[in-house]
Amino acid sequence: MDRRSFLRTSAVSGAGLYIATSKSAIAQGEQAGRTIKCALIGCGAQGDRLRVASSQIKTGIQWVAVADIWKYNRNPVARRMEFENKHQVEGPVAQYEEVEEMLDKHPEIEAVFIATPDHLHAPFSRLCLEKGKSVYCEKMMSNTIEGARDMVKAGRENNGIFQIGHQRHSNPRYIHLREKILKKGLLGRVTHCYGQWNRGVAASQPLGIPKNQTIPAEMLEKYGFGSMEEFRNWRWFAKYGGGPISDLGAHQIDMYNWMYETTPVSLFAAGGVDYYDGTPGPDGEPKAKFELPDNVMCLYEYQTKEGVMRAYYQVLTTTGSQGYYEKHMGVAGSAIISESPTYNQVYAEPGSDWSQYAMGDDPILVKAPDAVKNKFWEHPRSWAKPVPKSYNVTGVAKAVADARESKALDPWEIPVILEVYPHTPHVANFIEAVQMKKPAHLTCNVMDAFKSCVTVLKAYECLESGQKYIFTPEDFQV
Amino acid sequence: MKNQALALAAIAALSSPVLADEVEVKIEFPKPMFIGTPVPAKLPNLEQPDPSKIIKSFMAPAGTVNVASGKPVTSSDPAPIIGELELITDDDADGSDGCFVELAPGPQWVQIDLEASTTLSKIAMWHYHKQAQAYVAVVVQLSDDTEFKTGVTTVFNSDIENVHGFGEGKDPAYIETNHGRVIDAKGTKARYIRLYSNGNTSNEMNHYCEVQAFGVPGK
Repeated sequence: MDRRSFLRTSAVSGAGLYIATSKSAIAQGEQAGRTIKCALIGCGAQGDRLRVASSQIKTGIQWVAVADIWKYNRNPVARRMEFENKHQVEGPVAQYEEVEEMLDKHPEIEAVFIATPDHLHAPFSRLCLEKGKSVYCEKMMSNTIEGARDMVKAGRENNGIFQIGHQRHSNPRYIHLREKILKKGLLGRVTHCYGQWNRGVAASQPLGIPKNQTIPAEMLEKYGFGSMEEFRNWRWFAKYGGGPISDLGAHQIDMYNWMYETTPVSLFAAGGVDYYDGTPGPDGEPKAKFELPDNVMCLYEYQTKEGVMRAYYQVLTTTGSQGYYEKHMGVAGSAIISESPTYNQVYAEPGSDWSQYAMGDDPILVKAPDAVKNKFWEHPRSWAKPVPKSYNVTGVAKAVADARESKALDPWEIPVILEVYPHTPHVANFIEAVQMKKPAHLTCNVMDAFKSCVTVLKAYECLESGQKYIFTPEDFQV
Repeated sequence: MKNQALALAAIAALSSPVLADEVEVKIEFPKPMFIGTPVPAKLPNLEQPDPSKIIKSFMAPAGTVNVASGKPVTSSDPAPIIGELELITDDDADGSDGCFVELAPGPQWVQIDLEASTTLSKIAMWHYHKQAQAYVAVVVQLSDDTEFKTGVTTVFNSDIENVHGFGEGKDPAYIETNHGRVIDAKGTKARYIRLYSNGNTSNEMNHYCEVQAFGVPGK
């Protein structure tokens, strides 16, 4: 299949995957397809993202109420539900400061989405589950392993469906990579993984306080916040969140576990508060002062059936260089993947002929079209002419440069385009599981997410000790 | 930013011919706010930005002030999505979070009650200027009738599709900046100012940071 044909069909197949998920759900249970009355706890950026993502789900969700202690966030989300999610709303969306009051006044709520700061995930999840609700809780499960462990217990002690928001688990492109490329062995033995989320200083600035929008101190205190500044920038403080390695890294480190269906055996991490330390910035003004590391690098070791696999990960908040993606490197090929459609290349090592996988109406791969899309990565290049200036050397240096370099890899692409927001399939998966009352339908249950939480948060023990951490089986058990 | 909107200067400093009792009224602009990647603004009547046409001051009778300052505001969307209606007349045109009002999607209006019929020289308005976007179908009307059924004067109309039903507008749409847009009220005497819009080139929402109306109180 050539690229033109691929583009013609992929839009259909991408959407088709999504629709197929819904159809499969409808076929599996008597209660499938029914409308679930939903509430949202936490109306900040992440909560609003869930609202936006859910707007693309045509049936099955009815928003009833929202809760947030900050009217400045709560009111826009509730009213945008009424306008933009209006196919999911009947009448007004009720607003509450207190979660308890919302649950008491709306017994009809069947499912609750939790998108609060991380330290409130565990108590609110337990509260909702004990009131008989199903719960979709944003990742990271908790800012502490103890909190995450309690969430697993709360899930076991109650009957509600309990999904954690590692949305890549439901992303058709990621599923395609795992099921059709990695499991089928196209990459051969994967010996190394690499992942990064680099975000520049401009995108990592602390959040200010909108004019006249301060929350009363007693309300902040009730939910554990020391100040409005900490409330706004909770992600950077251990009391409330897990820092960038948790906020950003958790999504991608989780993919190491999920792709290979295992957990790491060891971890070494380095990092610190390298930039946001309160010292004067380039403009002479003091930079923000954060508690949690703004730059972290982790090296995990996995023991797969085929041997050791090492997985490096970095989260940097001082550069946006090359954005965010994950790379899986095997002896027969490599795959680059991201939620961003920019990164979806698969490369065959010399000697790997993948043309058979591009056949038929449902190909595993399609041929990469051009060099532009691959400009950051593996350059198919002519070994004759022209050569870069750096190759314009003579004598021994030239001989060494040519002889030791690998032949360029053969570029392919993953033929799946996600035509909805990245969170939409994951929300849909949760709603389907609630409709059918079928926990097994979930793509990211609380136990899987707990293992990822441990995998990530143990980095802080490494940073503190400066030593390699050896995981034990007990680390991943509840 | 109370009482910062105006600064008066002696007419002796001006070279252009002015009436004897007129003074220069300077408008204080908020800081520029552009952030992020703007959605390309495409409107048939969108003007090309021309810094030389920005009205930064104007001549008006002595005693001219912002008579809209602190005056009550009502709206077709009485419960804004973001912010409170009072922000529109709080003398603060800043585009920061907490300084603007977001109204519901589609055609919406806000109305300022000056609490007395006043002869107006200029009206300055700032929609959301944190992103480079243009507001659609902007109409500004003046009247002594709180329901705008009689005695209505339209002083600005960029509604080329006649969404609001006041006829095809001839004024241009423009990209919002910290300079807002200063409209000639042409000495119209009115108690109420009503401003319409129909979303913007980035989304369907309607926003206001500030509206100021310049006249002499009691006249």
